[in-house]
Order: sequence, then structure tokens, then C-alpha cells
Amino acid sequence: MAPLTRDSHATRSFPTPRLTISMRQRPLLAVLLVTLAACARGDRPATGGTDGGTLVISVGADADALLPPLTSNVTSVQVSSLIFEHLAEPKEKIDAIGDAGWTGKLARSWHWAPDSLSIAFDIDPRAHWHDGRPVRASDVRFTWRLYTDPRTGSDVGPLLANIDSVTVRDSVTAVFWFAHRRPDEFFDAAFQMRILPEHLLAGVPHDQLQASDFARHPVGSGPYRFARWVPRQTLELVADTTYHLGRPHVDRLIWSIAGDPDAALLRVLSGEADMIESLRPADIAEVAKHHELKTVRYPTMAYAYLLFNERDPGNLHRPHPVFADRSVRRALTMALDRQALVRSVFDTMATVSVGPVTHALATYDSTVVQIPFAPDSARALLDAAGWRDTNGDGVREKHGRPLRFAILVPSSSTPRMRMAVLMQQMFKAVGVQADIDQMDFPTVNQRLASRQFDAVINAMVSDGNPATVRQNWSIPAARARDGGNAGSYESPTFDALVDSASAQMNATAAHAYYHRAYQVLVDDAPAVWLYEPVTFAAMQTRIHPVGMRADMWWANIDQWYIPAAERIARDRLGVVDARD
Amino acid sequence: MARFLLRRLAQGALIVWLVATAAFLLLHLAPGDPVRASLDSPLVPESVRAFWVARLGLDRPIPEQYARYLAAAARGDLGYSFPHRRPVGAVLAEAIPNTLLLMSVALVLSFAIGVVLGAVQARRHGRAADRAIAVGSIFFYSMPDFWLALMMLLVFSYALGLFPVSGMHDAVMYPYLGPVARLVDLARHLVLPAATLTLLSAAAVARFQRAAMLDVARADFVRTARAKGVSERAIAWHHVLRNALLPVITLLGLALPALLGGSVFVEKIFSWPGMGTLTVNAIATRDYPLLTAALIVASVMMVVGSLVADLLYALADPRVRLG
Repeated sequence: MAPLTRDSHATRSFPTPRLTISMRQRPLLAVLLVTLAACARGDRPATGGTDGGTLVISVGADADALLPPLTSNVTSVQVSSLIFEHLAEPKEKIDAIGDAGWTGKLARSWHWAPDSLSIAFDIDPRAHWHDGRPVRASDVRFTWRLYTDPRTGSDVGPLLANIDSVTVRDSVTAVFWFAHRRPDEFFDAAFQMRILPEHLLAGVPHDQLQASDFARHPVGSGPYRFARWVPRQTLELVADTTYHLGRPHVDRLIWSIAGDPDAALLRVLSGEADMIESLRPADIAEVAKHHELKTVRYPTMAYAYLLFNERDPGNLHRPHPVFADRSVRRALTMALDRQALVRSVFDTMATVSVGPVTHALATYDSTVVQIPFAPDSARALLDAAGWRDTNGDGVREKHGRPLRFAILVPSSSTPRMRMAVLMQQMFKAVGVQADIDQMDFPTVNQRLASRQFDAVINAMVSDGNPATVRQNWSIPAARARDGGNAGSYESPTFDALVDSASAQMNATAAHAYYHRAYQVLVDDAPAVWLYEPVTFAAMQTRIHPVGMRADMWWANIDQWYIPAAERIARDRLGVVDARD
Repeated sequence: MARFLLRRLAQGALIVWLVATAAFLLLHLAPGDPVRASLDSPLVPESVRAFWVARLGLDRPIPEQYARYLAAAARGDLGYSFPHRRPVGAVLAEAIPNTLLLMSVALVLSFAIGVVLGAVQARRHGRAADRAIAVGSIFFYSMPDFWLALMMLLVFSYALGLFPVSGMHDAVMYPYLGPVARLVDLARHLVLPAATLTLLSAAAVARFQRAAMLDVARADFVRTARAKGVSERAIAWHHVLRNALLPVITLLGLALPALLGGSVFVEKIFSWPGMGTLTVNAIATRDYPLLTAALIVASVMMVVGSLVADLLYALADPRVRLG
């Protein structure tokens, strides 16, 4: 098989020759330096923005640790991903197959080996840590070792199993060596890890990283550097004016930490904060009343589905009395008018999901044939499967057992609760009794992990790699203790198709296999694919966002800007650190 | 006195141990654990969750976990908060001063205002002032704290813009302010949550104070003082008020635990980073060590509060002998 694109990305470097400058030449030098700085910004697309301003982001939860291998909540991920960098990032959509559509961050270029079993990344020689030390290839090797050390406890570590080793060819060239030839090699190497400074972390035992001072006062190489963190109140980053890809436009980013989503929204409505990343459907009308605010729509990696448990929760060695039967699952899917469900609950803030994939993924496929809404066919299928209403109580029975099950719903999710109520009515119309079982999130998670449920409205956020679909639908994930396939769906055909897709180095061929895998999954109906939310952020009109990506809306925040004429008092603080 | 203190401290230690034990056992019986609640993404490999569960000792039998917890707590180590990624002691050390500030301001104001209002009511018993204050105090006494907090927030912050909507400091400007300006900023953020708590508590204190003063006003020694020709003002402030403070002192002792326990709803609505919100979030994230520690702190305050109330009682009433 042919290797993937070689030398697919290259950017110019800016060597710094030694010059002797006389006093008379210094004004000229200043002009030259400004010009060179402007050229350096040419690494990124021009947005027309000007430098300056403060962006206050209102969030409902504090960060946990600012160390990428160990971050788990969304605030931590946002903050740490602006301090630390990937080697490369997708320009728009994530495609884990190959490197098409990727652009360099810490790496300015990369080269595939002819056998595709190694990739050499050239570190941008201008890249430096916020303490002034240059970023080196040895930092990349150190990072890989840290992520994959079991003592670190990183949730990313196990995903790097295909990276056999990382070697240092010279001070700015790190080479990733892979155990197996796979299409997501580049994704694993360039995007799963954020590069960490060896000189600051080498002395910290990996099992002490989480509680280390570095995790609360990080030093990275990204567009923003850490300024301060007042737990449960404020987190602040300031622009690194010497960032190797060009100075970020906005001077400072402040996460204003509110106690909950309502308080977070109120801070935006009152003008204390500039933006909130996600609005609930009910919030849109409130935001519309404020002329100083605007809503900005951006894609998402999330999708939700009604998952059927194919094993009996009372005895996991036995099949579920209702959901083990494929025809019953299909009938239940036919009983649900998904368009009406989504429209009723979300209006235009969600679309009907087509499978375990969202619009933002390169493998999204709208041609996968869906099970239609057909209540008459649902009734016929249930009749044929032996579920009939013999006693006239409106609920079907089979061998004396009523066609009844519970839908597990997290009580804190209003959309899912509303959806469950509507589904209850639709199931009732075909003679099925669905009860709603409300639980708090930790309990729902516990019930999912122990598989103690009949059906559950679950949501998933894709990591961008279509191959991770295995974690939730493959046979090994069903059979492993606490595996991610909580519904215990098993299909050798599906697994084989995903395996084939994962082995394809050609993107078109891989997508074709994924299409077939998704079709098998939809046809077998281990779940009813419900919705893919459309996310709306609310922000002050003076904020001009650029390129809000589905996987990380903040990925291009260094290109956001606030026009000088529209700035308010807090925009004029500059980049001086309060500690300076 | 020393024997009394020793006995009460021993009883207090027993109560704290019982609370810690009950909290530990009940929390561990609830479904979920802090690792699964934090690493809740289905994409997190189970091996990673298992690693952290083992690392935190959550995979060990509950009696063993309990013994380890007690041994560590005796050394002052209250455990590790996985959701906060920090030792519990450090998390508490940040939250306690915030709650202490809010609750002590509210406590002082509510008792000061409540005692004065109750005294005025008793002095003006049956008159318009008494009835007006009674109506006002019943109004606030019967009001749910979360509702009053929301109304205060919506009216004074959102509609009128007089005060910040939530938090403890200005997220942007605080680091750049001078000491006086910082104090003003803190005071502006403190007004609404403190006023909410004060209005709720002062109403209760006023009602207690009024009832106590009316009871004392009918006592024999008051009649004797009046017969001796002592002025009504002197009777009210020197004889009646001092004796009527005894039930209020009991109330104060009961209110002291809230100094560190915080007010869940008020802290939540105003995003005050104190113990109340910390405890609620600890429940949601199954943060056993933090929750157990918060309950221990609350029980210690309960013990200390009742001890302080007893001591103040003895100070206010010479008939009370400790021992």
C-alpha cells in the first residue's frame, strides 16, 4: 500500500542572523522588526483583527488540573489547551485518517517514512516555552513517555498504544515509530498529546503530577500563558506576545467561574462576562432581549441516543426479555417519530442523529438508510414477534410478561427528560409501556457501568477518531468487565467492518467501510439515534469570533478580536500581568 | 469548670466520631464513586478509572478504607479530593474563610437587628410599631431562602444593576485594585448574600426576643423593680433585656455551626465560593473525603457552638453553675 502524503505541510522558518547595528540604524531596525513580526503572523490566516481587549468567559464549573494528560473537565481542557500545544491541528473538520486538512502548531512540517511506520516532526525553531527556553524534540519524547507511563494515570495513555517509541533525530526533529501501520497514526502522534516541558517536569514523579505545583501554575508554549487561578472564582491567561505563530489578538482571557449554569448565564446577561459557550433552548429568547449580545452557532461532536440493554439487568448472563430480539428493537425504533421528538424538544437547536457520528466528523454519512417512523409497521413487527395485547389493557404481552421497560434518564437534563416523556407517549401508541426512571448523573453512570438498566437516554462526545466507535459497540467492549458497550450489542459483521476501516490507509476506502459499519448498526437498532445538538454561544457583539471548531470552539481563540472602537473599560488592561 | 469542659469535650469528640463514621459508611453505600463521577466520559478507558480507584484505595473493603481514613484523620490528613485534584485540607482552607466571612457578617447583623427589633416590639407591645414589625418579621421568617435570594438578585443586581450578580470579587479588575478598592469590591459582592441571610435570620431572632422579653416582663423581679420606682427604660434595658437574652443565646449557639457550614441555597444562587456550594458539589461528584470532612467540620462547630452557648448562658445567668 502506498504511504500517506509526504511532506504534506511546510511553513517557512525565519532564521535570525547576527547583525551589528549602529545607533543611526536603530530606527530602521525597529521598522524592520515590526515588518518581520507582521510577516511572522502570516503563518496564520489574516482575520483583520487588531490586538487588545479582554474576553471574560462565564463557566459553570472550576478547572481541576491544568496539566493536559490529567485534565478531565471542560474548563480545564479549555484553559490547558491554550497554554500547551499539539504538534498539529485540523484546520476545520477532524479527519483521523491521514494528515489531509491538518496544519502545524508546534511542528512546522512532517515527513512520512516510505513504509508509513514512522513520522518525523520538525519542531518550529521559533517555538519556546513561556519561561523563554526553546521547545525541543526531546520535549516531545518526554511527553510521550509521560502520557504512556501507567503511573501518570492519563486517560489518553491507553490510546497511544500504537506508538512504539519516540526518538530524537536532532534537537528539532522528533520521530514517532508505530507498531502497526494504521491510518490514525498521524492523529495519535500529532493530536492526542499536548507537548510538555521536560526541563520543568523531569524532576516530578509521574504519580505526583496531579498534585504538583506545575498542575496549578503551568508553563507551556501556546498562545496564552498562565496568569492566575483563584479556585472557584477566576482563571486568567494573558497573551504571549512572543508566540511563535504570532501574537494572539485578545490580550487576556478570563474564565469567570459561577456556581452553576444559571449563574453563569446571568453574568453574561448582566454584562459582567462577555460570553457563555452553550445556551439551553430556553435561554435563547432571554439572550435575544439584550441588544448588546449575539448568538453564535457552531457545530458539535455530541450525539444522543436511546440505548437498549440486550442483557437482562437481573442476570447479565441471560438475554434481555425484550431487547434481545432485533425485530422488537426495530419495531420500537419505528414507533418513534424522531423528527417530531427533536423538533418538540429542541426546535431548531438539534438535528436528528443518523448514527454514532456527527456532522463534524469526516466519516459523517447522511446516506445511511434509517429505520423509518412507521407505527403500523411497528405494530405488525411486534405482533409477529409474539407481543400482543391479549387482555385489552393497552399493553402487549408475551408469555404473560407485559411489554414494559424503564427508560433511565439523568434528572438534571431537561431535554432528555422531555424527550423521555414524549417517547413514553409514542411507545404507548403501539402498546408498549415505558416508565421513566430519573436518577442523578453519578447514579446513571453507575447503572450504565454495571448495566443495571433496561434503556437509557445516553449522550456521547466523539473524540474525532471514528475508530473509537469500537469502544461503545464492539464485541470486546461488550464482553469486557465494565467495557464501554453498556448495551451489550454484538455483531461480528460490524466489528469486521470497523476493523477493515481502521486498517485502510486510503481515506476513501476507509469511509466506505465506515458507511457499511454504520448501516449495520442502524439496521440492528441497538439504539434509537435521537439527536445531534446544535450549539449556540451567547457573546457580546464587540467580540468577533473566528473559526469555532466542533471539537474545540476555542481552538482559534488567538485569532478572535475586539475592534478598537468597540472596546470597553476592561479591554484596556493590556497584557501586563497583575503579578508584575 | 475544668471538669465540665473536659466532659463536654469528651462528649464532643464522641459526637464527631459518630458523625464521621455515619457519614463515611452512608456515603460509601451510595452508588458511584469520585473517580467515575469525574472521569465520566465513556471514552475514558476502564483501565484508567481502575488505576485511580486503586490509587485512592477505593477498591479496598469498606472496613479497611474506614480504618485508613480514621488513622489519617487522626494525623490531620482528611484525604484527597479527586474532583478538585487536591488534598481535602487545601480545598477546605480556601472555602472556610469565605463562608466564615459571609456567615459572620450575617450572624452579627441578624442578631443585632433581631434583638433590637424584638426589644422594640416588646416595649411597644400591642401598638402599631409592634404589629408592623411582627408582620415584617413573619413575612421574612416564612420566606424560603432560595426565593428571597433570587428576588434580591433579580431586583438589585439584574434589574437595577446596583450590585454584582454573583461571586466574591470582580473577575477582571480585582488583581489591579488597591487595598481600599479591594475592600469596597468585596463589600459590594457581600451585600446581597449577607442581606438575604440577615433578613431571614433577624426575623427569627426578633420573634424569639420579643417572646422572651414579654415573658420576663411579667416576672416578679420586674414587678419589684417597678415598685421600687426604677424607670421603665432602666427596667427594659437592665432587667428585662438581660434576662430575655438567655433563649437568644441558645439560638446563637445553634446558629454557630452555620458559620462554617454555610448556606447552601444562598451560596449557590450568589455563586459564593464557600462551604455550602462545596458540599453540594461534593455530593454531586461523590467526593467522599471532602463530604465527610465537611460533615466533620459541621459537627465540630455544632459541638463548639453548644459549648459556647452553655458558657455564655452561665455568664448571662448567675444561677447557672457549670460542673
